[in-house]
Amino acid sequence: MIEACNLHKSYGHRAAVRDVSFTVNKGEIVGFLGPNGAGKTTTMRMLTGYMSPSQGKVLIDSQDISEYPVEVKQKIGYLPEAPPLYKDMYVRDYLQFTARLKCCPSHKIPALTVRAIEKAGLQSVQKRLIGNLSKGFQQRVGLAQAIITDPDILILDEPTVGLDPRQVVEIRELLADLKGQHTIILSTHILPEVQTSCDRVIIIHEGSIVTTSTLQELGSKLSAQKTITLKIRNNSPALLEKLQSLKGVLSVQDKKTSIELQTSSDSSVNEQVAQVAVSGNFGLLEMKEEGLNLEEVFIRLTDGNKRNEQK
Amino acid sequence: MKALKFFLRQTFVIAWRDFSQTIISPLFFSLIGIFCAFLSYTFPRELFRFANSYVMPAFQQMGGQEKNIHFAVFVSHISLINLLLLFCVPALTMKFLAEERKNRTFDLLMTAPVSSFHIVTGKYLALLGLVFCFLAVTAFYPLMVAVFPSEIPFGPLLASYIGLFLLAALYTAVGLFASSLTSSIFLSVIIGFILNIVLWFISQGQDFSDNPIFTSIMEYLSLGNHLTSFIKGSLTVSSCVFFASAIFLFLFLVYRVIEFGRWRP
Repeated sequence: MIEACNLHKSYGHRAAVRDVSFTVNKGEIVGFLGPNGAGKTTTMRMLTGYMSPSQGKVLIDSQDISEYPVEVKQKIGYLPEAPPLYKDMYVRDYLQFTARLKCCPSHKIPALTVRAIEKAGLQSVQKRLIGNLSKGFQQRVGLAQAIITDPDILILDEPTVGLDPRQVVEIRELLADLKGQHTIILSTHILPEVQTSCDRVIIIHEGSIVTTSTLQELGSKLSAQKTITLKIRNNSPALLEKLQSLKGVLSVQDKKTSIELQTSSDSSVNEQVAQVAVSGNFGLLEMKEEGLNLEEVFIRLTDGNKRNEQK
Repeated sequence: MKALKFFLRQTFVIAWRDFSQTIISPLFFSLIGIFCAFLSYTFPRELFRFANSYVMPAFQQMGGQEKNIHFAVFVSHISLINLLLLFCVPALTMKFLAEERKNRTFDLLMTAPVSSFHIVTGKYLALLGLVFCFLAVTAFYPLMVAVFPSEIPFGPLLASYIGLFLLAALYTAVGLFASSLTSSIFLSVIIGFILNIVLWFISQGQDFSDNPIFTSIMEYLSLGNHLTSFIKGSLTVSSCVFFASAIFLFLFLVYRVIEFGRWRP
């Protein structure tokens, strides 16, 4: 469906995106993950035909976007980072305008507008000026604009940025609702978003792809370790020593109010740690196991890159 | 045929949105307000001066242009409109590309299935419509004189207005170019205004050389000369060609600037 081949974009001497290639299949939701300034927006702009790559090409349904811009762009709905809203227009008028702009046949526009308004939950504000709406509603109008022509491909650049938690949940529900009908690329630097809504994740850092994999793969690749946190009433060096000597414990860190253990993923380690803490009467208050979450995976991957570069 | 239909449709969609949104905007109203405030002061004054001189005996000895309402009243009206357009057109064009860039709505146009060509022609068409409304409002002043039982030379008046419209169309193309260069609306107004002034005074350059070819080129570039020929009531092909090519040049520059945004190295 979407194929990016060796995309390269430089602004002056600074390369914003370097040799980025990936494919997205029909019906997939792919998370595009990276810290701010990693090249997410630039990549998305190249995918949507906003700008042309310095090198490489974008194929949508095996058509090159720079050769058939008009045909290809009709298949794409794009929500930029800042929703492109005319603040002095009414919601309904704005949506009708975008539908017309995106080459919708005139007789289909009323029905499509109603559908987009319903999907984005804009019924209550459809007759208001966009400039007077709250940030959350404006974001939804932006989303309605992207889905108005019912395009095959949706490209959303940080759709939940700046929204309050309730609105974030609503946008996520909307995405879940759209899943299956559309191929979606979603960029974000918020990790739980990827965990909840994406099939696959592409991690990009400093303009290059760090990894492309499904969430499960990514989890198992990096979950050879886990972290156990202990809360102890009588914190003593003797306990630390004992814990250190256990098999499977890789490192022990004394954090005053708690002790943090890095261990192998073997579950028998938990048993041993508990036994040591209880049998020595140290006063075990709490014991918590944390698997490596996406956040840590991400930091580990991007940090690793940095270290390689420094070398 | 299909391509032409598509082109017209997409251009019209862009043009209509800009036209219909701008014509109800406070900016447009205040600009027209400024026009009317100036003209309502100067036009009746000129008209009364003309009427008074008519009853004075000295008038009987006067001849030629002084006796003609077109030259005595309408010409100063036309030149004042021209002066106001110089300031007001950049203020109108700033909305069209600079503000779109600033509000990021330009992303919508750039990712929509329209080419840069559609964007330029659509925006320009909308602006032409607005400028036409401007001139239509100002045309009320000379037309109102027609309620008096008098002989109004409508031919030269129409020719002057055609000249004025072509001139305004050129200012618009210049303003759109200024608007495409920056995302600061203030800067776009300033650039547009400066470019307009430069166009007006470029003919002063003829003093730099005695070369007859150079002088005649400079004379041809003079906006004042072209406008004067229209005011005198003559629609010359050379003037029309001059305006058409200057407008084309600036619109082409706008097109290149927008394309540059896509291909920026």
